[in-house]
Amino acid sequence: MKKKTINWFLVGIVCVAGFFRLWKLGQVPASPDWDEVALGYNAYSILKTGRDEYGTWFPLVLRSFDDYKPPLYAYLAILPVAAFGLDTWAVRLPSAVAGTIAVIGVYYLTKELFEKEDDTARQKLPYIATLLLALSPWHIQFSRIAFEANVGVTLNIWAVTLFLKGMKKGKFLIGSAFLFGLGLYAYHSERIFLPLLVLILALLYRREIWKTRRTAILAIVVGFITVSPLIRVMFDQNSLMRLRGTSSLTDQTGLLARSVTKLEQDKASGNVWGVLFDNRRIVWAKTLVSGYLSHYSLKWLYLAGDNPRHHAPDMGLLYLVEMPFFFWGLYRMVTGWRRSSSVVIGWFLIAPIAASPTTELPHAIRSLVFLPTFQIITAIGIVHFISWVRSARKFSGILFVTFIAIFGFNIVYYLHMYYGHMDVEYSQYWQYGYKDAVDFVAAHQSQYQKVVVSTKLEQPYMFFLYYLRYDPVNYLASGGTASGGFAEVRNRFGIYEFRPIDWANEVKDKKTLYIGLPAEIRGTTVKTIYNLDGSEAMKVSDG
Amino acid sequence: MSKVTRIVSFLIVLLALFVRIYRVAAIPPSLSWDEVSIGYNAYSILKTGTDEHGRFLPLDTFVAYGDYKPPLPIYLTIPSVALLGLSEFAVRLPSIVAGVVTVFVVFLMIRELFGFSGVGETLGLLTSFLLAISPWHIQLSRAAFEANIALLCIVSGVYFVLVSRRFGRIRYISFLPFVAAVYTFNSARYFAPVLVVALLYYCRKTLGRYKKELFLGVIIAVLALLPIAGHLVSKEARLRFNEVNIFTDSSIVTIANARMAVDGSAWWSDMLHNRRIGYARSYLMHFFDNLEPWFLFVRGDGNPKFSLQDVGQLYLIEAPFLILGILYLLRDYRGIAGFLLFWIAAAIMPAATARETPHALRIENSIIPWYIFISYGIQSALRNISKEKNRWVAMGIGILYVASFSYFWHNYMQHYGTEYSGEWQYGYREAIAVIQPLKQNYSRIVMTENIGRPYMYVLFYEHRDPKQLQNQITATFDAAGFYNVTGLGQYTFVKELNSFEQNVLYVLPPAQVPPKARIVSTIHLLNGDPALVIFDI
Repeated sequence: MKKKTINWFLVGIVCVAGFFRLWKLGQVPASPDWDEVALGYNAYSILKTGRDEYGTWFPLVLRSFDDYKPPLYAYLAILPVAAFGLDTWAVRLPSAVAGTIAVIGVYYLTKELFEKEDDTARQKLPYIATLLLALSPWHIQFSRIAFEANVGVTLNIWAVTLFLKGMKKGKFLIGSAFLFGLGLYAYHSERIFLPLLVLILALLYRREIWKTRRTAILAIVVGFITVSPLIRVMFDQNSLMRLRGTSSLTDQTGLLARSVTKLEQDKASGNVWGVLFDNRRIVWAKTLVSGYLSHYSLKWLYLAGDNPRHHAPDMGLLYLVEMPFFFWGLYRMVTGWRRSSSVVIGWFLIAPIAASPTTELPHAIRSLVFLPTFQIITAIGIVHFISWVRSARKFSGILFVTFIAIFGFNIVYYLHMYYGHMDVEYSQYWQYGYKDAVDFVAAHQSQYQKVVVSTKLEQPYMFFLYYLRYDPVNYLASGGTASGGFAEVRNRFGIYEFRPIDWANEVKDKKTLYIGLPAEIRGTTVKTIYNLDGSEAMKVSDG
Repeated sequence: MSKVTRIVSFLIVLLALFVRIYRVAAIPPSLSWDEVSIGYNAYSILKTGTDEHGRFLPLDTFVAYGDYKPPLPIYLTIPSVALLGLSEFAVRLPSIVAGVVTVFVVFLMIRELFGFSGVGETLGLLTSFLLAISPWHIQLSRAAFEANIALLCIVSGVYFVLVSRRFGRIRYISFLPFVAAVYTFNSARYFAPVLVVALLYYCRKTLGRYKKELFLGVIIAVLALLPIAGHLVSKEARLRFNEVNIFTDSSIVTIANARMAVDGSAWWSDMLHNRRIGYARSYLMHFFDNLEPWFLFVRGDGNPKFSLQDVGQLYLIEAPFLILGILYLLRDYRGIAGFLLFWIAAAIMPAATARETPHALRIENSIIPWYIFISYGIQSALRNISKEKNRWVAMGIGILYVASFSYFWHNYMQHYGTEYSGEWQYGYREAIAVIQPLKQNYSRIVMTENIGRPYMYVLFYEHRDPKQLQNQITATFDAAGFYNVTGLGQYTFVKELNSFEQNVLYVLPPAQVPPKARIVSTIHLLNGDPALVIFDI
């Protein structure tokens, strides 16, 4: 009896999680960005032809804009795209569902993790951690867009949960190994993060693993089989190029300028220490450590966030009111160290490693694998806060009401900013305007022989393929994508041409339609497309 | 104090003195405009009893450039200027001494805080040592920064109040160091009283018995504050604050209004998009700027005057010990940990109202608790390890510290001066030296204001007699309250110049030199870039 009522709590939390992940999925964020349309269209293309936009048959890596995306998300999107058509909400659906499944996972994860720690307060812990993830601004943000990273988080949570279950019942280990392997298909960061996480778990649970060593070996084999198709891809030159493209160590001249000047000075003045201290290896090491540490910025986490696409206006990645409880929880975990502390804090410490050699740090997506450690640690703080409130008998009522009120205000504020204001304030960051542009072109197509779209609009060909639902068969027959990012000027299909617009030298014969940034189009404007805050996004002109 | 402790603490103080005084006249490479101003005003008081503006022994504030400098640092500079003359070393000496004394007083303070048993003594020595080699504290001790003297006042104040738990008579004067801090540095004016309240709360059990003495102590402190009280509430004191504070930022109101419009001005919208929420958020952002990992551990303050840009305010290796230290101190000495955390927050709070954050100088008062946490972190890390491994780990930490300090020291001594001489107003001193033998050949000397406050460098390096000053100087106070000097005897100071005359010696930046100029000399920054060109027509 008792068990059943408790489970209703979980169902309630999952409903909350599902609601905030599915409600207005197609409209908030205002527009799919380039990565979302690329994943959507590639799913569509694989669905119709078995090939991606480049004509690769069932790809294990999506070349896309030469950023070589991990493939899992595109395959997951095939089903909703087949069922509901190539619609933004359908493309985002796998992420929303994965996000909801992750919330369920946290319940079982915390339950397994803290099971043996027979503190009565711990009974509340799984519910609080689950609720925190259900309402987490960081998790909601990436559960509502078609990015690869969020599916990876779900796989992490379930892989670890099954691993912990496997410590009692061996067979769960096999499922765990499969999910760990699958994680490598989900997102770049996972390829560094997961091996480290497995290593930590293996060390912490080496005794239990030794006891079920026969199943463990089977699990390792399953894991290897899952990963084996990927091995060739991961060491492929092109995939590694993406790493170089986003690495903070790539710009050697900029990075090393100061140390080179210093070395010259040392040589001129005969200072032998210079070889040691003004060494470029020190600069590299400092850059990496600095990148790593940048993810422990309280300002970034609780107040500001990074790229506007990664958070709601005025919000960080976590609720500001969570901060004291996070520290309280951290204090409890560190001073009363147990194996659960090793798992959670180990996870917490390796999370930003994959992101640390990259640029634009701190980065909310590349470090998304932090989730759900923040929520678990914060939940521990809240649990201890609640038992402390109970002991303060005289004031416990007031304290509890204040706590709920402040938390409630922060949550309402976030939800309001997310659903009520983010579209208006941030639509331009979401590459808003393509839908209007394509609708306009489709309505007036008959009047023009050619449509030229400026590549300054950032990967326009993909947005046109996506919104036109252009038949992948035709697209591939005309050659597919000529190249992604760098040589994109050669891209064309149907009457559409994608290249830089040079207004002075264009033909302007009234038979050609030009679409570009407001600054690029200097002729008569037949249509102006506005961002949701009223600023100009694009202009359409026929000469 | 055991013999070992005495020797070790003496060695630490010696080390602190060495790293603060070694080649201090040459690195930082030049006196900044604030330093020459402090030096010359001290000289002026010494010679005439009045400041550069002719005010007799100002006790509230020195008008200086219109930035209203706190008085105590200038008075403290008088003895060294009297002994050593107007020189770089003389101006910087008070800050160096304050830095070295701080290193020792910190040891005494921690012993009072943690008790005279083992923990207090080793923690005191360790913290004292870490402060002695701290990049943050070394950097600010090697130039005449008021904040560094204020730090000594604050630490001494905390020490006095803690000691007054045991020694009765000190209760009457235990607040005076805090009063001195108010006379020393602007940020301390908010910080000192707040810390005193926190300190009394921390000591409430032991000091609660001596209400009468404490009350008298407060009366004495208030009396000591009377001379400056008028200035603290004056318009001038607020002027500088208003210029730099975040609450004058109108964009927050604009955004709030735009959001209410989007919500159709519903009744609840006013609550959510209240401008006070916007300002609170902005304040918190500036507050947490001071806790950014890159600021604390990697690059330090973006202003090269306050940091090398090569190491953080703290050493990188101190990051894990800081976290451990906070957590373990909270477990083992919750009262002390709470007091120290409050100390950090209170030291950052006034600095967070300003636009330029993080700011290593304005939050220098937080430096002591940082190092106590770090030392405690190191201690507890070692305590948690078995005795056999203990020695090796301690040695490892030691090696990391030697490496970190050497890296800092190499960059400071070898490269800092060269790389950032421009940040230290380098050039006027060199130009004035070149001009001296040529002066009588010209009717006028025209000097650029580009580097900043040239008249003060002329006063300082020509050892101008403060008695003659009022007849020679041509100056006005502008609308913003700044003191603009356009002429000083033979000298004229200009921002830009379009026509050039004969028989005039010009000292201008390279970009303003006309083609027909006859160049006498070019002053280069230490990194080789030309800074000033001396020429005539």
